[in-house]
Amino acid sequence: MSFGAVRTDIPVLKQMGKGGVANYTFGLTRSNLQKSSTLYFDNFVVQELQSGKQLKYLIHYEPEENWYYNKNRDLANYSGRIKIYNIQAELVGNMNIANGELLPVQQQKMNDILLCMWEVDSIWCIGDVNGGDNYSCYYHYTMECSSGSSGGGGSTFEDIPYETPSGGSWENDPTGGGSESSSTPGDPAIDTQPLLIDDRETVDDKIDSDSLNECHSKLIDILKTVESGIVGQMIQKLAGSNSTNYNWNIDYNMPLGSNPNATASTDPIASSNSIGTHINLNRIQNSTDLSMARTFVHESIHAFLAYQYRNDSSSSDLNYTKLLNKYANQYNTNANDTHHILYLKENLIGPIADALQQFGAKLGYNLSTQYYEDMAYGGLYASSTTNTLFENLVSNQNDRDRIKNRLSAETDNLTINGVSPKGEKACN
Amino acid sequence: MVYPQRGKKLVIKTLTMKLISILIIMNHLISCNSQVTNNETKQDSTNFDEIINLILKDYKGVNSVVVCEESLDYNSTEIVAYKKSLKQALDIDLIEEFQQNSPGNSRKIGRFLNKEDLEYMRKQIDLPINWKRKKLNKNIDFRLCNLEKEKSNFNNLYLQISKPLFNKDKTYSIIFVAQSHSEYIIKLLLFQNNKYGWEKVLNLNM
Repeated sequence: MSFGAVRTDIPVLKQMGKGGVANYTFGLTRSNLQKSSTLYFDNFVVQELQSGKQLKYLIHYEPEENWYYNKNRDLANYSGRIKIYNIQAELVGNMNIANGELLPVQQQKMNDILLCMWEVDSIWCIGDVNGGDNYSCYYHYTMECSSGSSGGGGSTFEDIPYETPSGGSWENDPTGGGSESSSTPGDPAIDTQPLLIDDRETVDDKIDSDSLNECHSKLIDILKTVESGIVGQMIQKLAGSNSTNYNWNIDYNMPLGSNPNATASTDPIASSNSIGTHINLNRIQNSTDLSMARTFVHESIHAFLAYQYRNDSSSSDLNYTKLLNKYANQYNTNANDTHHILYLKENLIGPIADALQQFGAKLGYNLSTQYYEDMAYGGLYASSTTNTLFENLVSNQNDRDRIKNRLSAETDNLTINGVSPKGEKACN
Repeated sequence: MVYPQRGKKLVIKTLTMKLISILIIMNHLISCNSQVTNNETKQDSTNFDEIINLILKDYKGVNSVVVCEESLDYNSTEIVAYKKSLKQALDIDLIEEFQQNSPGNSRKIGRFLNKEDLEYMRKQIDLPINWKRKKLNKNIDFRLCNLEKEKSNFNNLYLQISKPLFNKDKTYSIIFVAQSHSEYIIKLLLFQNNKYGWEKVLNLNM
């Protein structure tokens, strides 16, 4: 997730709470990396704690148009999505709200659940009511969160593990103060309904792995939580948490007559509302969880690029449409090769490796970055063009052999040329 | 009465020459016909060689490519999206839909072929073809493959090739190629025969 800088052209909202501690809310500019057509605004909140420490977090609002353009808007009737990020810009909470009511969470999957309660006192906005880059809203509210299981909770902000921020990626230091809000601080007592935070409630709607068996489906569940980095953004785009109504369907229905040596196949074009990835169940029967993770991450990028090409001709989002056209014209008009050229030319190996490392960590592996980078090259040397690019990027023959051996070892869960797999068989 | 006799002889001679001429012409016609058939076979074989070599250029730097003969059947092989057979995929509207959503495909197939051309090509699907083993690059093995029994790892790349189809005047040819490494993809390739020989004009993921 990417955020803009703190706005210095509008005042900071200050809210006094219990014990003389204050909350400061800052408006943020729009980030160049967020899709410009998406209706959203970001706030940065610094909350003083009675212990003397400060809690800092970001709130990303994606309101529905009806609410946003209503002059009498009130957060008590908010409709849309609210995401909460820590200072490292990592998602820690995600809620869907309609007319002020939290939409039911269909499935409870998070191990650590944040339970938040809030009370809204007022809302005020600055800028053109018709939207645009200079429009910001501020909320006067009290929010209290706790960590624990879905049935637990009750402790205060100070229990949240990301309490102590360090550094950050701000273009402007948000400690520059501002004028005090004229709004009256409300009573911090909490009597509103608890907001259950689950960052996958909509992901389930958009990445459909219902056709897969349980062990592969669990891997897809982990894939859905990969969020940081460029590949994380692509996965989230597919997942539907970034304003898309697109579906990615994963099944075992390889096309008739297909070569049994392949592990997977992704539809080369996106249909009107979905794209399919087909896993060759026969070929991956012995594959390790790391190999499956590699396949899923790799195919998710194909799905994203196919979706992007069909639906985002504005090329405003990371310019992938433009890049695909560029590489198609320079190298090979075949979509699959063009995608792979983009993987290699745009240095996606690092982001793929990063996504795999996040994936691997959630599976309990502690492997070197090099290992994940090797895995990231899977499928990227199967034509003359991509093979040449691969050889340029990995100039040493021994390194190339190691990469291929590791990929084979993980795919077949076998020792290949003395190289053993690090992962465990995904399905028994 | 010399003239009539001469005239008779002349008439007979003329008739005989005409008959011989007719026989020669007929023989020539038969011979020409036979030559056309032989030329077509030769031409197909040459065309096929050139096209295969063009396809294999895309894989020249890759280690260990296995080209499987007679492995991509028009009736029993599906394209990845839409689950249509290759035969059904020989449809201009469908191909152009694919092109619309694929990068770098601004030259629509309709610029080169029309529906009648594709209909003519479809009729060739069930005719036999004489596949000949080619002299290939040392890294490329052209053989009959039993893919079910092949044990692959990431060092092998398998190509399956469909029978090439030609339009009536043999200026264009369509061939499908399925490529299998870690992923399976199927491509429609369109070749054009111009004064410089065969040239690939479309390369489309299906």
